[in-house]
Amino acid sequence: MSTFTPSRVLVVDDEEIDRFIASHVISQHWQDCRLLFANDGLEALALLEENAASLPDLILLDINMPRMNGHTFLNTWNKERESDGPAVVMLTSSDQEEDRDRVAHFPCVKGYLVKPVSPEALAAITIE
Amino acid sequence: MTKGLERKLTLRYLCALGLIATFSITTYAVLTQRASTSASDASLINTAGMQRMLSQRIALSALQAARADSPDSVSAAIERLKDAAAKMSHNHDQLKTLTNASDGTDFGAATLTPDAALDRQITTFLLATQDAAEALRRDPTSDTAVDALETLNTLLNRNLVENLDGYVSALQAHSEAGVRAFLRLETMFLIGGLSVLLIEAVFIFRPMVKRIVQAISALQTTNHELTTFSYRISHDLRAPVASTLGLVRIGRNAISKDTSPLIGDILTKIDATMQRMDTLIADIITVKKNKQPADDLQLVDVNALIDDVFDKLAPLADEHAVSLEHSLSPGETVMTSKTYLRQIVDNLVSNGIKYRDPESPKPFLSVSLRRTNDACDIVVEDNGLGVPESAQDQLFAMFKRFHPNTSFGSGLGLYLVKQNAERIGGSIRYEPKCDGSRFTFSLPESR
Repeated sequence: MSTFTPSRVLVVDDEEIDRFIASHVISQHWQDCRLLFANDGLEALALLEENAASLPDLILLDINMPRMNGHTFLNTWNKERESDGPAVVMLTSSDQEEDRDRVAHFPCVKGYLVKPVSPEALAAITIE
Repeated sequence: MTKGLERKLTLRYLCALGLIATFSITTYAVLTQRASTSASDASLINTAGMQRMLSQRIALSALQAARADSPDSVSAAIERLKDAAAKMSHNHDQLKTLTNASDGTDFGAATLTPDAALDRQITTFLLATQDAAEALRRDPTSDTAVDALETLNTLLNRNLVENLDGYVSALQAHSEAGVRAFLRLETMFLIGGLSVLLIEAVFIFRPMVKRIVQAISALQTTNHELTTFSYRISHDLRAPVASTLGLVRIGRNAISKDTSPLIGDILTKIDATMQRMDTLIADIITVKKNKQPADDLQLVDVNALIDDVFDKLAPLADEHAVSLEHSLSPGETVMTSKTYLRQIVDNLVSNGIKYRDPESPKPFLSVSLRRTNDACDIVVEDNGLGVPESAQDQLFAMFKRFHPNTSFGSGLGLYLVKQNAERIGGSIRYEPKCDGSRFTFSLPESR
């Protein structure tokens, strides 16, 4: 395992403030990182399809979102994705076991962060 | 709602019990009466049968007296004759009395009084018996004795035995009719009893069960809605708190470079306030979640668990100069839920730090473990503020705070401690000390 430094990160969150906080903390921690944003699971799926040629290295995924939540996104996308596709780290305000358990079985999910995201939390992300 | 439901259900099952009781008592009374009629019938049949036997014994005894070859044998035969006659007379009187006493409404044989012809026949036979006994006593070989014997035989042969047989048969037939009536009655009561049960099942028990099931299902729905509601509320409350905390931290980092002490101070205060809010929400979620019994029973290393809690709370303890110590040796284990036990110890230790005595030159908190024959006690004591005597009875109640100015708390900590203790089969108690508090968590151990 080595320090993980993504060059492109997709932030999927319906809250503008949370997208702002995430983008601020990410640019502080990974200076040269490019950011993509999606408001919900549906937008994220469309964006991933559009960028199929150059997928992001990391997706920060919220759970509670309108139209398509994080769980449904993972269920849908998990079937389509390549095995070496982007890693997903959950970023949610829920610290509940049930929510952790519900995403634990997805192989692409590499971490679970509770909001607010901090540089320390990003530094702790490790991708095998 | 519960009271009303209880009243309605009680009324219903009392009705059901009343019906069954009334039916049982009626059945018992009627069948007992029938059984006693059958018993008296049996006694009548027995007596009537005996009359037939006695009449033949009289004739036989008279013949034996007439043919006896010694005076002693004559006397003995006459005695047997007299004895049989006395019994027959007594039985005859008894039959008349018993049958006359009947009110005639019975199914039994008691309505069958021996008819006038039979009555006369028996009376005449008994008189002839007396005459024969007297004549035999005087001289068994005399003409009088021979005549008396002749008379007896004649009377017997004039259908006395047949008539007695007929009487016994009539009594038997009547009694059998009574037994059949008894069986019919029993069948009727059985059908009646089953019908009562069926009626109760359909009109009382089924509606009762339906009502209870409805009430339970309504409760389950409400409970499910409340669970969903509390999950939504806690989640939806936490989201803006987390956002605010994120913004405040970004703000604090940004202004530290510009060294604006007032704004920095304000942001620190907002941060602290939001963290309190976060703690409160987290506690509410934990309390809600821990309503379930613990499902992660395991052998827990208490020493390691306390070290963990101390490590986590070390920054808070250092900030307030509270020294944390414990006297546990490595390898002290208990079989319990690690999550629940950790929350208990965590709450007790953080309370000890938060409610230290600011005047104390050397605030401390210590944890010790005591084992008795059947329990393991974890004791957390401090030399802090303690709990005012007036508040001690509400110590473990929800949303109770006793030193609101000292530190922020959700008022749920000790409630959670008590709830967890109960969920893992233990108990928590508070013992006041002259300086500070002593909490003892006691966990029964099965050996």
